Amino acid sequence: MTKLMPRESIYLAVALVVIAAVACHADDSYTKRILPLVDKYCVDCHDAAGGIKPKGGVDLFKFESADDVLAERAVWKKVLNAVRLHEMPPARKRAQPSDAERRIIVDWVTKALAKPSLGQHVDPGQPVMRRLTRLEYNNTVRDLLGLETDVFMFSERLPFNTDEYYRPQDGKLPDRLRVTVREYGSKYPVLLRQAGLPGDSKADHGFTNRGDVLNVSPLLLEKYVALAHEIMSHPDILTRADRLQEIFPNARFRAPTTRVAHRNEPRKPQIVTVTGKLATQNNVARTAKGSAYSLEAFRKRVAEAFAQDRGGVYDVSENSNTTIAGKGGLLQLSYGKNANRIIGVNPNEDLWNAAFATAVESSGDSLFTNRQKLQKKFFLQFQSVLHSRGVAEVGVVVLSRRGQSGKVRVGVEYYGNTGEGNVIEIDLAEGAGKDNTFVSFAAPDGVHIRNLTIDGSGFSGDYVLLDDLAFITRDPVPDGNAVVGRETPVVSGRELPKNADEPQPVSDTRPAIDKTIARRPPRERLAHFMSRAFRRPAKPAQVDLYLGIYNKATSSGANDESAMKAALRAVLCSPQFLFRVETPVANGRAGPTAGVRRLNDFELASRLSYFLWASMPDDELFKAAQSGQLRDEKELETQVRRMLRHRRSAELAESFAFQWLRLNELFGSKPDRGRFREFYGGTQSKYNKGGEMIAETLLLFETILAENRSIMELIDADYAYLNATLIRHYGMADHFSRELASLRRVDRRTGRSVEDNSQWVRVRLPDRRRGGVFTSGGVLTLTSLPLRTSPVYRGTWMAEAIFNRPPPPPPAMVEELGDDDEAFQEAGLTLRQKLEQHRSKPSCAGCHARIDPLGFALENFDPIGRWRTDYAKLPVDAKGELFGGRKYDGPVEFKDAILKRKNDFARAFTEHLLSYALGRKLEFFDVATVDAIVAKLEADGYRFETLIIEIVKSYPFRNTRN
Amino acid sequence: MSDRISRRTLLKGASAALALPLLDAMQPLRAATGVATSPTRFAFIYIPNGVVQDAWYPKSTGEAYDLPPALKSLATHKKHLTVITGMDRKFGGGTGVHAQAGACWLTSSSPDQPLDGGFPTNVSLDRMIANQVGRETMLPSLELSCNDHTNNKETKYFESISWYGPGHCANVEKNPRNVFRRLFGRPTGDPMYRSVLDVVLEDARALRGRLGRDDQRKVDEYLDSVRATETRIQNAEKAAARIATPPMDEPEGIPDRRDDYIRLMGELMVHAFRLDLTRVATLVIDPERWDTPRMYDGMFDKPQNHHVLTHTRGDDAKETLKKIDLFHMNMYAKLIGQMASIKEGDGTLLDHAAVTIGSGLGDGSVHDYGDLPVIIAGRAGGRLKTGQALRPKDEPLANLWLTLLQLSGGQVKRFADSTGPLKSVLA
Repeated sequence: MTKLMPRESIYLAVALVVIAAVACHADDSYTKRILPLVDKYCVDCHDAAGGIKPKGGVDLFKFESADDVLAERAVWKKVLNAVRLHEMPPARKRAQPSDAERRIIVDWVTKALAKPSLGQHVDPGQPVMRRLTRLEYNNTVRDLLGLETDVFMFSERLPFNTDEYYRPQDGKLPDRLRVTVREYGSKYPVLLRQAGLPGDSKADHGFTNRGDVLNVSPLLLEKYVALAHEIMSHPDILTRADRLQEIFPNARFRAPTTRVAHRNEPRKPQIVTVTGKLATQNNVARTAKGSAYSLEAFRKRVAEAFAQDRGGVYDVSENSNTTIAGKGGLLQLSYGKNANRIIGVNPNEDLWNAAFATAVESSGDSLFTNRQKLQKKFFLQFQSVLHSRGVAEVGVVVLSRRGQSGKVRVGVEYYGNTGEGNVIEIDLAEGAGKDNTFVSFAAPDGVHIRNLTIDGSGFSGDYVLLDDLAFITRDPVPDGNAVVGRETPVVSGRELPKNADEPQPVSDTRPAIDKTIARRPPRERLAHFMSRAFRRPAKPAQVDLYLGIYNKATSSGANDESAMKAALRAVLCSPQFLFRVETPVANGRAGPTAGVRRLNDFELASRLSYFLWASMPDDELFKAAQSGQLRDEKELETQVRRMLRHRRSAELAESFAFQWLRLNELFGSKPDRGRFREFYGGTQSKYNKGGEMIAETLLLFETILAENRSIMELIDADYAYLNATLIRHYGMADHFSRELASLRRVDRRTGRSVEDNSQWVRVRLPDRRRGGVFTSGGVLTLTSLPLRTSPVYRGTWMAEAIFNRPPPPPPAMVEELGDDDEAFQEAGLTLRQKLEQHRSKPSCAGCHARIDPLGFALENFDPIGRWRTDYAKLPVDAKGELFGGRKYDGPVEFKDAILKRKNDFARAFTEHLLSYALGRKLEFFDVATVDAIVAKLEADGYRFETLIIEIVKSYPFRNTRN
Repeated sequence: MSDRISRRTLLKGASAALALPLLDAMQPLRAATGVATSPTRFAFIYIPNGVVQDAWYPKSTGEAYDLPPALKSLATHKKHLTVITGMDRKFGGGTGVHAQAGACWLTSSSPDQPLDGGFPTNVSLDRMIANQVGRETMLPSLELSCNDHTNNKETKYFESISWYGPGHCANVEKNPRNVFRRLFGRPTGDPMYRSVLDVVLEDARALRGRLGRDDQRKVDEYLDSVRATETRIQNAEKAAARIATPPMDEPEGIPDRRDDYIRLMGELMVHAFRLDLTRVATLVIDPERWDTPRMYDGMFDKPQNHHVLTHTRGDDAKETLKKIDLFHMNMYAKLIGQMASIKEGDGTLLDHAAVTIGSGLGDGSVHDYGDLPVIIAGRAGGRLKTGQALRPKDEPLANLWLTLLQLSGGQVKRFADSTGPLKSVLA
């Protein structure tokens, strides 16, 4: 990557795409064949002559020749869509053209739209400099630096463990998956816990990555500058950022030690490596009276013990939002050289490694506490697991909290001498973090501490918050020659570092780090970094510019490391990093020439990687770009297939599909808590089923993606991934009783078997009412109001997502409708009758006649997506008709009606995905591209990979206006 | 109207670092009136979906008007208020009716100028005023929002009411902690920041020369932002030297309760005004058409869906809406009460301010752009005649905006579709 490419090879000859030109002036096909049809079917309404406002602002009367049409083709794209979907002429009122007549219009308009509009060229679309979205910024910095975690927390990072279960390299998702859903907004491990960027707004009927919508304003730029500073001045950056070993001779990346197995996964032993630092956040107000040691003293003892491989501190923050199951769940704290001694902690009640937002109120942002509300009395039992001789001293910090106060009794029980021990009572004062109290115990000689007991029944809060569990063992102090734990530690017959159940690191293949680069002169190191950051070889003049910072810093006394960090900071603020730039090619002295050019290899590589991964290209893609391989269609295809097998392609689900289906809106859905109690966890609980519903829908998308299945399964699939909650929610408990029985685990505390909602199973659905995206609970819930369904919202959703024909915005004056269908039923009307009655105004009826039937088709699903055959009092009427006379009654026939014209959906889906891939709105000149892709797709059974490959190979993806 | 002064000129004017010669048209009216030695502050607060007019609009006009029920919490401040109902805006068509109501509430182009895919989003009033009065403060203006939902459900036309130019909106800050840090955070004292900014500026300039026109516009957004950042960092150092300790504790984040949240954002705004860290602020209480149910703490025991309620038939819905209006007015009363309690110069902070609250819709149930609700609190340094209710007939809202712009020193004759200043608000 560091070697710059010869200019000639980047400088591509402009690729001319010449469409077989039909001389327009000689073309009388419009006047002969189209004009009569327009006159017959359209101009009654679409005529601006005589000062009348034409319907929908579309005047078709004025088009008298093919040239007129070519001059205003955006209008004719609308005509094409309306005629093809049978939206126009309006079904009930007007005489309908025959299928043959429609065909004539469609064919002619399609050809007209495909004609060159940019001189002799078909327009590939304008290059729009695209600022990185927040997601892309995070991913790019992560991959540029080689971080194991996200840079900061942000809301587009969905609360799932996608990188643990999504393994597209296998080409098949397993029948059973473990998917855990975090509380939305809960914290998770990142590099910078306090930093962040503002979120990006989506485009109207589009995605957040649209170049024209992404602004930069001073507020955002300030944050980029501050973030770059925070990243480069992070105290651990040289040990946490793998790729910085190429830039800094002093960088020592620490491969992550064995980590917590699975979030919320109590059955496997959790192994956590302790640290030597106790209460480092200086947030402890006092040491409890009667404590064996003061915080100061104990801090020193633990640091010393840690250094001597006989103790340490459990730092909760690395393991946020995990549960340590009570009785039998074992938190394994590894300490010592190579983390090869293990002391086990076995609580008698479920404990919670919390890192939730409210924790901030008390101390740092992590702590551990009772999992069950009010379960404030519990103990932790210490067990020697490996090379450990038991605990002699223990310390812990009890945290105070806003608005809560009272007594917490902390004690120890000694091993073997039942009843013997020591208890210290701490009276916590009210105030977030204001009275955090440290307490420690030391066992008398010859005995060990068996239990650490906590009794918070005198404390007014629901949870006893604890942090910094520190322990010192009776392990011998090593003498100078003793080698502790050289042998590989063994747990349950398995080698620790290669525990098969452990999650692999986020990236599939850790890139080969070339540490020799770090030994080169500053200029070369910087050039290497810049070329990766800018995603193309940095030009010498650019490198000089940024090297200026390095030189300035060193000349004012800075060492190599801090001078280089300053230069890297600037690189992270550069427009060439923050934007995806496609630079026009200058033609000698004349400057950019108007016309079309093929993207250069690096531009194409970036388009690919941001499309499929929402991140920068990896080394292999860079290499392919550099060697010119991407110009070869076969090679390009190979790259796409490789990239789709990489776990980063999960971003297609989490970013593209999530936005396409508007699943983000589920995070704001609030079905009425009184009437739809089942949607929630309990009156006070923050839990609702929304997160699992999102998981269900994304799992369907991911299955189709990873297994290269037909995109028609998005409409109608005979399978689904469900967990126990959703099986019950959908009323399938009887049908799936065997599956339900298998989705259980043994609760170690009670010894009883309980349902385990992190287990998901792929099931064959009993019938076709479910399966596909719009009959899934998530979509049905997000398109409903708190007290009733909304056929209008659902219809609008269908029109946008499934047909990509969003209805025009409602007119200025709208009528009112009630918010509760039970109230309508009191009046003896169904919601549908009410809506139909309501839609009497002609100005509303036009659009709603198209929108509402799409929603009525789903009326058998209640506001939280459960099946119903009647409202409380009246039967559901789910009849309707899809454009072109495709009648249906209920969701199954509705699916059939849609699948009767598969290409309508294929086209809509292609348009969504192409728009996402290009980061721009589609225009009339893209119609031909979309049609060509759809034809390929149809010929190949609508397989997803085919669609992606055809998009990548398409003209607008590989070319740009110059 | 100011469209003669191009957007770029305006933006450059905002950046003190450039020290460009100022056009006559941009000379501030500083102390020209001889009344105020304290600077005048301008705030614009947006409430979505209109209001229930019969409870909100005064029945009579003039000084002897009776406060209508929705405004009862403003009683103690009545003499500081100008309640203006009856002004109109025009819907440009081609975009969603709600989006345009919010996004174009303050913009300077007339509704028939679809500059941005149907949206007439040219430079907004707050930015134009900031160009007059914001050059000496740490931040030319402050853009805030109390929409705490992080699921990015809406387009920018809903999220922001502040525009740098067509299609170019200002990011809003939603987290009180970030606002606090931006206002009162200690400068890092980092000697390298200037070199960093200089280098990226140079990089951007070189890049700009190689790009097509549309992309150049994107680079301009970037260049302007870098310059503004440079200025802000310089000014932050000066401000830090002036302000020894922050005037309040650092907020922990977004408060759980909505009333606490709005009050906290208001408090931050007041401190920014009082310490002269900025003289212009906008606050979006909620995006237009917001239809995710919200808690209005103290008013109801369960979340309410403001937008859906405006389209719900029946008296129950009306009563609920009235309470939502009341909730917003209570928040407004708290804010101006706080400003009225702060002594400054010959009066109070409120005396030296014009704190405007309003909505882009009159009657939300029918998406009416006419008969809009507006209240201005404060005398803008003695230049506004307060203590009265006005009901202009057939006057565009732009007339009021023009008046405020002129009052800030803008020597312009037109603003959007204005027909002339609204003289009745002037003292």
